[in-house]
Amino acid sequence: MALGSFQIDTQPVRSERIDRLHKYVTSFAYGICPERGHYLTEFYKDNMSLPAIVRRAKAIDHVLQNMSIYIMPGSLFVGNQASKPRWAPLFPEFEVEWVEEELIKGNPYFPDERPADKYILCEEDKPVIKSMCDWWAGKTHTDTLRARLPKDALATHYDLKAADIGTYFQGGDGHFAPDHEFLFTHGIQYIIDECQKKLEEINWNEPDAIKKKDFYDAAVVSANAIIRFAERYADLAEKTAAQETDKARKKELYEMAEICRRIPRYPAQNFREALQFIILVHICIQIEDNGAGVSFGRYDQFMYPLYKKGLADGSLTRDLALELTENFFLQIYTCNKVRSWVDTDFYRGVPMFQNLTIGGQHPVKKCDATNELSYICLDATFNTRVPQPSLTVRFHRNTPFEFKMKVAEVIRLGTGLPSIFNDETYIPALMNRGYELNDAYDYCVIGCVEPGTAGLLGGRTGGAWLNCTKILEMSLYNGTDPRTGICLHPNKNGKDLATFESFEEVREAYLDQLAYYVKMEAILENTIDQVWEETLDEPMAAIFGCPTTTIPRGKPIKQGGAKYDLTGQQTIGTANVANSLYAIKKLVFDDKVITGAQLKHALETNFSDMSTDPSGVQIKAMCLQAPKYGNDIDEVDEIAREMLAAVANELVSYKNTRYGRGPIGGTLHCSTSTVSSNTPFGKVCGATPDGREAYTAVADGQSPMRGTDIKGPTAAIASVAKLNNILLSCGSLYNMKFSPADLV
Amino acid sequence: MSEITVNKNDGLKRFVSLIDRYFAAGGSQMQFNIVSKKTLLEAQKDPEKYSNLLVRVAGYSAYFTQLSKEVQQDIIERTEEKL
Repeated sequence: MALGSFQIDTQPVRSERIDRLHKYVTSFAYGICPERGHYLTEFYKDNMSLPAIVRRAKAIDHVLQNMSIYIMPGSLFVGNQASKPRWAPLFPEFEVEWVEEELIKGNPYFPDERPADKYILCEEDKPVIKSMCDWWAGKTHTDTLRARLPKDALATHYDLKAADIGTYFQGGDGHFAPDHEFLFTHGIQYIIDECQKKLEEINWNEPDAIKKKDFYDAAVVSANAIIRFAERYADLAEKTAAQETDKARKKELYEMAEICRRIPRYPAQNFREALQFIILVHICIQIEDNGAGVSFGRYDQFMYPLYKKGLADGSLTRDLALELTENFFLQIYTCNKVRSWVDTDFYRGVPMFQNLTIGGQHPVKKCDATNELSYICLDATFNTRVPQPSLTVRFHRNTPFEFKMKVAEVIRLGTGLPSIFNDETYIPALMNRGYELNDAYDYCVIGCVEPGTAGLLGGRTGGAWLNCTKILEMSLYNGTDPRTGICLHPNKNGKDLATFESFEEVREAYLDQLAYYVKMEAILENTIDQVWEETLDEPMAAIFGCPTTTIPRGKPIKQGGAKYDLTGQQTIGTANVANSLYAIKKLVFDDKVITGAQLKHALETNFSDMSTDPSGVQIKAMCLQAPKYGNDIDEVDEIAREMLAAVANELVSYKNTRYGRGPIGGTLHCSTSTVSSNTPFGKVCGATPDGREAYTAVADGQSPMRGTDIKGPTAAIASVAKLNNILLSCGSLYNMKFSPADLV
Repeated sequence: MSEITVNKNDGLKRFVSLIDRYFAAGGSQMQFNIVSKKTLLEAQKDPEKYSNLLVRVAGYSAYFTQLSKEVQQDIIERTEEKL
């Protein structure tokens, strides 16, 4: 073995069906499908008088009844989001400016001419896209946001990039795990019956009666829409079966038709039907809006009763369950999203964040919950080798060693999957935000790294990225951004790096700027939620996401329909902030080897002024030599801990728009998830006292800065573990890299 | 994975111990790239050959050769720890 990569050197084990399906799915380049945008617009044009939520339900129904559907060769499941696998639908109701600029005018690139993250766009689709852009111009979510946001918050996002929330200008929320278990054990007809009962029971004396009626009307439309969508597949499967010459495939297609006549209206009777049910629900959610991070919850837990039943009645074997799981994974991998070129910088590599969780503990018994399906999912990830679903494993103090070794073997493959989560910190982190004990034990991972309980958390585990490196930089220039010259908030003491008289003054200036920009972030987050609630509240997200609370309460998620509702975000650059503050403390105030003015000049000139003494290059070397976070050095790790905790605590002081309206939680909270924001954020940040050159990438997640953790993995993990991880109730992210040769 | 020929599992055991140690110390989450710098540099040179190579970017995985140069560089420069 060459040991360059296990991924290259070891072969997957695939059945003929899975191998063929894998080849088929991965043969499609990414593309853009205008159908969803077109049918949605067609409906909106003629129906603006309907209540917002009913209009949305009916518009999505119109899309589902008219969009192209297909069956992939050999697949045992149906469900497609766009006209081809890995093609992305358009969502013009959120923003059309970038769509018109890029797709129609090619500014800065046509999607197929991008330097990375390319998408095919067919020339003949352009007139349809242009016409949807024309109709939506001035009426989109982004237009409303721009008119509504205070100018300082807009400048924070657009000009300073101290926080960036572009993805929620251009799209919906996503970021929840539907209550799949509830749905496939009850069937959608149950939801229709419940909503109709509730409609009859509405108390017209109550002030919210009309809103409730609108909600139940919309819920019934959406519930019927998914049933009719499934029937379209049943028709297609029958038609395909009639023409199929291969006998075995013909039989499969008739079975698929039969399943789609019953599912999702009625409960799933077996393992395969439950997977078909989940796929249809998932696809509908991914068509209702373009929010990423729609996750699956604890697959090995909620599928296990059906797995056991199948083994017992002889309808299932381990191999068949594995094949069905792999087929399910490949079906899910067909979903895609296209982002504006600017936003793509934050989301490199076309991620969908469709997370699937295994392992962990039983919510009631509190014992290890690993089972054979946990192993099957690991095998499926090993064999399918596609980036979706994003597999997550929960570890706890009693996770069996054998399971950990199996997880390690799959990680060794080098696909980056699965990632590992620690119950011992995640569970108390959730309880600190008000989660009940059993619900906390039942958490799954949503999106990247965010914990939440399937069916109980109302989305919003994602939010703005907070660019702490930029905030630090502004605190060193008396609140002015050196790149744009904008000053929204001068330092309280009016000082800068040249005039600070003690490290305490530097620290206070940073914390004061941080508090100001967290406030800007809170304004951005809550305004977006407010506008979503008023114009784009979503019946499918409500009845599939949180059916056990939205239906009894008669309100969708953004009106407070979920059991738990916290607004998440992503804090970037902890390592740069800690290293920079420590370098200032050491070089300027403790060792006094340079003055603050000298350091400021070096930063302003990006360490390139050779006429000073010491020269820019020498100052850069001093900055780089100062101890760094990631080497188990308490002095600098403690600064990292304090500064990350400051963000977390400041965020929780802001309420979200659902506070006091039903859900538990109701505040903002912190994560260190990065996606690929550390590169675009780096592009707006000048040189920093940690020795980082201007406009280069900042550190990812809560990881040490690249290349600065030089004392080995034990020291690196010691530093990262010192952070107050329990405050990161919206998730923690630590990247490590090893050579394959080390894991033999 | 029966198909992987593993002569000894010492490296893998050390890897599991490292995870245990991080979690026992109060760490919350870990994700990994297990790939040599050499492979990544080769993939940059010959993207066709490495078109299926998946890497971990942040809270997700992606095809390395489809990433922008900056993100590729970010992953290449990440510290390669020694177990």
